[in-house]
Amino acid sequence: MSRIALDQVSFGYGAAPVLREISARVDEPQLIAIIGPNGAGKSTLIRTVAGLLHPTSGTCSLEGKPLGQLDRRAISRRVAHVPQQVTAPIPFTVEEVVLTGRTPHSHGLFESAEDLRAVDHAIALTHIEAFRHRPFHNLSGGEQQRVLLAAAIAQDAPIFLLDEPGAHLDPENQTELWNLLAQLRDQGRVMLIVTHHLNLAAERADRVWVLQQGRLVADASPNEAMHPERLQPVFRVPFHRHAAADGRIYLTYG
Amino acid sequence: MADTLRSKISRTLALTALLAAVALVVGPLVGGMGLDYGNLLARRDPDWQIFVQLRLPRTLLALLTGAALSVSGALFQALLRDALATPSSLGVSAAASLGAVAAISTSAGETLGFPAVWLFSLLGAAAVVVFIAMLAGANTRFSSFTLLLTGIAVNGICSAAVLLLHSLAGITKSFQITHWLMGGIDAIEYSTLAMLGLIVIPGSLWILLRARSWNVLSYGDEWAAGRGIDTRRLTIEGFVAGALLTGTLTAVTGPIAFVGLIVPHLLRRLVGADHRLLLPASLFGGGAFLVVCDTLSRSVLAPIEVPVGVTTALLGGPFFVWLLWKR
Repeated sequence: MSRIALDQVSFGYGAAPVLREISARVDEPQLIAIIGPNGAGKSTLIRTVAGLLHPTSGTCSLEGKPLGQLDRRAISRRVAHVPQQVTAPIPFTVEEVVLTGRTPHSHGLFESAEDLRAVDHAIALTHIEAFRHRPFHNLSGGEQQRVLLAAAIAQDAPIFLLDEPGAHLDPENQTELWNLLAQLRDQGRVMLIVTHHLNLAAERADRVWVLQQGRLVADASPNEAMHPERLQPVFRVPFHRHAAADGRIYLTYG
Repeated sequence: MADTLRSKISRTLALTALLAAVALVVGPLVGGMGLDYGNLLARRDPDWQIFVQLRLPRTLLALLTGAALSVSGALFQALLRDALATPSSLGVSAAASLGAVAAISTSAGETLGFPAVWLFSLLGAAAVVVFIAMLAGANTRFSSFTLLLTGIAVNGICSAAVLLLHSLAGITKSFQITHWLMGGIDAIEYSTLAMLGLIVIPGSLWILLRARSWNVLSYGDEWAAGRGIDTRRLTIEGFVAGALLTGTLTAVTGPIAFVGLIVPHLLRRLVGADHRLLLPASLFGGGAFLVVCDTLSRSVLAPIEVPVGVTTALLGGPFFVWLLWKR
């Protein structure tokens, strides 16, 4: 049974199509990088898989069940979606933000011991203990992204949908982030990651989805997908592919 | 942490309930006309009558109103993700005011044994709730943002209608309208208080029991939906619950500004943002705050009474600004 099955999924706002007849399957734990130019539909695609947007045609299924047959709580137990940014005018602490990840598993006013263990684990894994009790909205963009990732880890879903999780991170934190994402994949999770870091995608992803104007134009291994002749028409800039001394490929453009 | 939270909630509840209890006991004993406590203990008139028939029901009404407005304010700030949201942000108070002003303008007396002003006001608030609930039901892309914009539009329309009726009213009615729009706490029948309690207490309890959901909803519809919350349903339910509290109390007291804004903000700084602490603290703290304001309103310039809305703004406003600048 596929973890994720997209069957001719289209979505649009009014008459303007954003996703066009996307079909793809994910059958095993994998780290999949979704790349494409701005406006290609990357964020819309993962929001559709998260059940936050309803396809105008086609079906999206999680673990064999069409999204339409699952209620919000059931979907949230299967997928943890992390948007690019979350703003709250109310000064919640970092720990309180991470606790929100346990919502699909909890009932009543109080968290269970298991909820608290999951939160502690997520905070330790993302190295945010130092600002556990600080207001979330006082943190830098990069720190906030780590907190949101911790909330997703606490959510304990088998599928992660991350929208540019490294957008505000420095090289050290980028490396740590991708190590953590790989670790989560190795624990049996499917990781769909929207990213503009093409070289990190080339190096770390198991698979790359390339989106162009709402269409999935490539679903291949990084080695196959990261070719100038594939990327040039999508991003409309000249690409050059290089091989480092250790054999890793990297791209330059412009 | 759950144990810590439980003990924090117990401590917060105990402290704020004690505060409300002290306000409830001291409030009726203070006023422009000094009471003879000996007479009061012996239940002798006129002191006993003044205490039981005037001051105690008035204090209870202040307690209920402050509690309802503060809980609604905290709720709407979470629901609308707007730190400046108040119980009147969604047009319920403005619609209730329009109802009351219509009753005054048409000289409607009593209906079904209740002052027409109350009933018309309640009808106005109910009409807005039904209108917005219908819009929400018909629009699949309904969100808290559309709710806020609809509220702003309703506020504008109702305020314009109030101004129109006010401009057409004669001098006596104009004075009555102005007086009602200032908001005020008056002595009311115990049976009416009981009815208000039957709305405020279960309504507040319903809101309190969903405190964790308001926490999650505070981060936005998308984040909350991604954590398993049916945001559309919760937003509508929260709006109806908050509107019920606001509309019912506004019908009786008129619009009382500021309580629903400053009490949650002040308490958030003391107990934190978690609604499991903030909402019970607002319930009792808001009640105590309005009792204090009402007591000052009828005591400071006695025998003249200052409208309680003026006192809430004059007392709470500077303190609020000081608190913000202190940060």
